[in-house]
Amino acid sequence: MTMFRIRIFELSVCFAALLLAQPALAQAALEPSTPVSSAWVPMTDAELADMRGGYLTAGGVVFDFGAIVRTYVDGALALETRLTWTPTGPITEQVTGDLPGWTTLIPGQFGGLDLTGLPAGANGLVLTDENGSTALVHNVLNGQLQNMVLNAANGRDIRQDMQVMLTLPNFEAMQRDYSLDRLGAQIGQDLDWGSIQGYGR
Amino acid sequence: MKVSGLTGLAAAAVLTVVGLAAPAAAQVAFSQGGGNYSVQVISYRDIPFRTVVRQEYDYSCGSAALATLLRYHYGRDVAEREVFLYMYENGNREAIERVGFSLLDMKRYLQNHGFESDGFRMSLDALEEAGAPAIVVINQQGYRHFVVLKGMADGRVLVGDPALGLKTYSREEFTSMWNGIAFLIRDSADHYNLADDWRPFAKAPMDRALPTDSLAELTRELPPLYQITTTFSLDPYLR
Repeated sequence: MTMFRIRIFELSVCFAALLLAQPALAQAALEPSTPVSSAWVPMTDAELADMRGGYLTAGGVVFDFGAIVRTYVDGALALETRLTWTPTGPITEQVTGDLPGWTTLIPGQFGGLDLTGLPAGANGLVLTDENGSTALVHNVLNGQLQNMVLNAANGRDIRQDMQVMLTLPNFEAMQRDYSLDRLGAQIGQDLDWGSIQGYGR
Repeated sequence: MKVSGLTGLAAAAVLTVVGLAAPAAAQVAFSQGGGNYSVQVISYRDIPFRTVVRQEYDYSCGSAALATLLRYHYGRDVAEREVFLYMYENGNREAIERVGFSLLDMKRYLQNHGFESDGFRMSLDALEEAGAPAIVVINQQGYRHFVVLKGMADGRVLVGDPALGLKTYSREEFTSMWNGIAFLIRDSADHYNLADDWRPFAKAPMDRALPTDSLAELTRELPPLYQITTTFSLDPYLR
């Protein structure tokens, strides 16, 4: 009888020990394994939002892109727009020729010209005088390079030009890498084909 | 194409590509007399992308890097397209089109898919000690580009570049391009620093004798055209 009580007591002690151990086990199971040290300070969401990456072409080519759009009226530069693509996005710069009578373009009707439907991002100049109205419109944003002249005037000599520059700063190295790739592929192909033919003889 | 597993083939072969289910691999069938054989092949163009998701668009290195991290290090079957669409639809589209995805776009995607992640400023030594893959930003000719740091060993850093595939850099080269920011998932990765990822960059064992039972040894005395090289280092072509 005494022995039986002792065994019950032993079982109770074991059961109690298991109960006590359970929270510790549960805590260990919930503790995730992580490569991140608790000493590291996470960056804020604002900092993460600023950390952007892109504009390396899918083929691994880094490039510089720029464009200059110019319009000349009666031989003098009337309007010049420069687009430069930078690592943080495109930058535009517009220079006017300060010719007499030209004003900044705003949407509206000007002496027979309807300038109400111009695309967003379009900038330019308008001249209305005794010969009529002329509008010069440059638009180099929103995926477009536009150089437009809307003219209802007589006797103006208008000339446009557009210069587009695409620079591949590492072109020589890239060309060398591609040549090596092709050479490696050719050597591999020759070896494989030679091996197959060799075994066939 | 690099043909593997040629042992035992006696074939003046007719090559036929019979399957192109995955862009990175295919099966080539050989027929000789009454025998038909097939081997798995991978093109030289795709070899560097065995464990890297290739970016589809000029500004999508962020989505491809995240897909690489999830697919090849956390065992999730994720394609670049679904990562791209989620981050594009939920991010600042104008900024994404102009300068690419942000680490915050990635953090939000991961949160939505059950992962906790954060960006940290740290040293390369600390990142090596963490022993985990990370998305890092490198500066290439003034342009910021997301790549996955896949491992480090023997003073070199293994990178999964969504535009170029697997690349290795010396610690000095990598440090000169890296801005010191690493983006990590807080859960431990399934795979990191895999030997297979380093293999294309393995040095040829020039100091070791060939075992007598090797295919290369068997053909060593034949004219070079008929010699079989069982390992072909891509190292000089991929750096």
